[in-house]
Amino acid sequence: MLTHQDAAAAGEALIGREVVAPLVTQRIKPSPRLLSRLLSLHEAAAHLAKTAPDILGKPEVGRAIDQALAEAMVACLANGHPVNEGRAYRHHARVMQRLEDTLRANPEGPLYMADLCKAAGVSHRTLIECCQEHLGMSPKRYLLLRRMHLAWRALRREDAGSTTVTEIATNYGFWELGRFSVVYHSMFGESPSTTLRRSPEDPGLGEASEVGLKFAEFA
Amino acid sequence: MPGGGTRVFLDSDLYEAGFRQAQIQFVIACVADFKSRLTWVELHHSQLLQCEEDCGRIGYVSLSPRLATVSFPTHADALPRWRGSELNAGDIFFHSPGEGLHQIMPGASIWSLIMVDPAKLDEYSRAVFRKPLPLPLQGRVLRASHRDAARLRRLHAQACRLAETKPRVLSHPQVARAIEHDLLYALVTCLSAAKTSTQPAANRRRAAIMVRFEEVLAEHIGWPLPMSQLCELVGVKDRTLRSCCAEFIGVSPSRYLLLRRLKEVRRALRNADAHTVDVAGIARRYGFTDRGRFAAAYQATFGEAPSATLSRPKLTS
Repeated sequence: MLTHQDAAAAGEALIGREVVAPLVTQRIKPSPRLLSRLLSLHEAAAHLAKTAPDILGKPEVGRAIDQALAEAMVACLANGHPVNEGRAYRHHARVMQRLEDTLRANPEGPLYMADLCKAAGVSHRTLIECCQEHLGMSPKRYLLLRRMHLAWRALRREDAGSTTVTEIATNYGFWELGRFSVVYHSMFGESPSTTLRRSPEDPGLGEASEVGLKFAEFA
Repeated sequence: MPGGGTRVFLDSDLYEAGFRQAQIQFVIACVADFKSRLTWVELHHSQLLQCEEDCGRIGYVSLSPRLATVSFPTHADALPRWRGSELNAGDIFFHSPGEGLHQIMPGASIWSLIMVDPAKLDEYSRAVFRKPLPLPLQGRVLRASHRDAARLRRLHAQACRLAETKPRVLSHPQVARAIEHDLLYALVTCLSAAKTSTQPAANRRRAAIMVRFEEVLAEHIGWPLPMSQLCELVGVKDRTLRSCCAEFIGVSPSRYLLLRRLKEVRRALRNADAHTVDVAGIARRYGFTDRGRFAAAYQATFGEAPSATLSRPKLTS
């Protein structure tokens, strides 16, 4: 990673024009020669970091590698052709960005389809396309999993003496408790009451935390 | 405040009073006691009703002018006739604000109402479907796809079952929110995707005549109007009024007026104190001057003598 200023400076010095960071992430296809140079430099630096981190610590070595990497990267960016992802893809990426912002602003509360449509300013049809493309599932499914995850987090946090599974489930909009338990068990590998009884320090089942983390990342 | 509940009624007056937002006027056509159950669900911006009735009847429903109302038969032994036309399975009515609707239920039935704040419905439609959802100026019958209609019915039934079994869960704001979101999604899908069959102009004219007919009855319930005067007040010819009534309520205008008056007498008898009033006095108040003919008509309609109604334990609402 280069800072924007570094990239711009290196660009001006090396190829005589600025390299401007794109607003939306772009995929670039450089020529095979340039790409292999960048990759081998990257690999060499990584190898060094693993085997002889002391050497990397030396200012002159660091600067030399920095320089070589920046050169290779700018060459790739300047001479490569941006892969045309299409307007739809960029539009969807922007929608996903707005969704992420909304989800980040509401880390605790349950959200529904209309909330996401309103936040992203798109119809449910577009939302479905975006979510299929970026999350591999429908927004409805995603929101259900998200609510399940929020309930899981609350069940881990709370103490069995002060609350009940019913109370937590209803807090997240689950009212068919039988169905909630079945879906919960299939996701987290244990019943909601088991999670509630366990102390927050006990990590519990590995796969449970993994599923939890996966959703924590996006939520 | 969200919530819900269910109640069994053995008296049609109390059942009618249970509708609250929609006004309903039943003319019970069967002889036996009218047993019914009303289940209601109150969400943040909408209300659901499920109405179970154990025998056939004719009725007039006046919907609230402030709410967007959708109604559909949920279960019927025989196909009901609403607003003059026989319903098909899966039909959904999207009503105009304040619409008046005649219903003929030929037998035991369950039917449903969904009433939503129109501003919220429009807001939801704009957010999710990117288009406005204005209320129809004329009531429409929607033929939604089987899947969409089935989903709406299922969600309605699930919410009502929750109101019957666990009303406390329903009063949880997040539960009400979850149900309302699913319900509005299903509802707006039905309303915006369904094929609508707009009524032919002739049917609309006849529906308007029937609404006017109800207005005249409400004003003149206290005495027997001769047919000529009734037609003059409604503003139509004798033949037109007769054919409209046959189509919308299945009985003649004068028969309907008689049933309505008898029902008013029954309501008064149910509420009156047997020690201070007598049957004849109440009957006279509704224009029944011939005691013998009145008693016979009353007995034939309700299966009991007027004096028996008067001596029943009083209703408490």
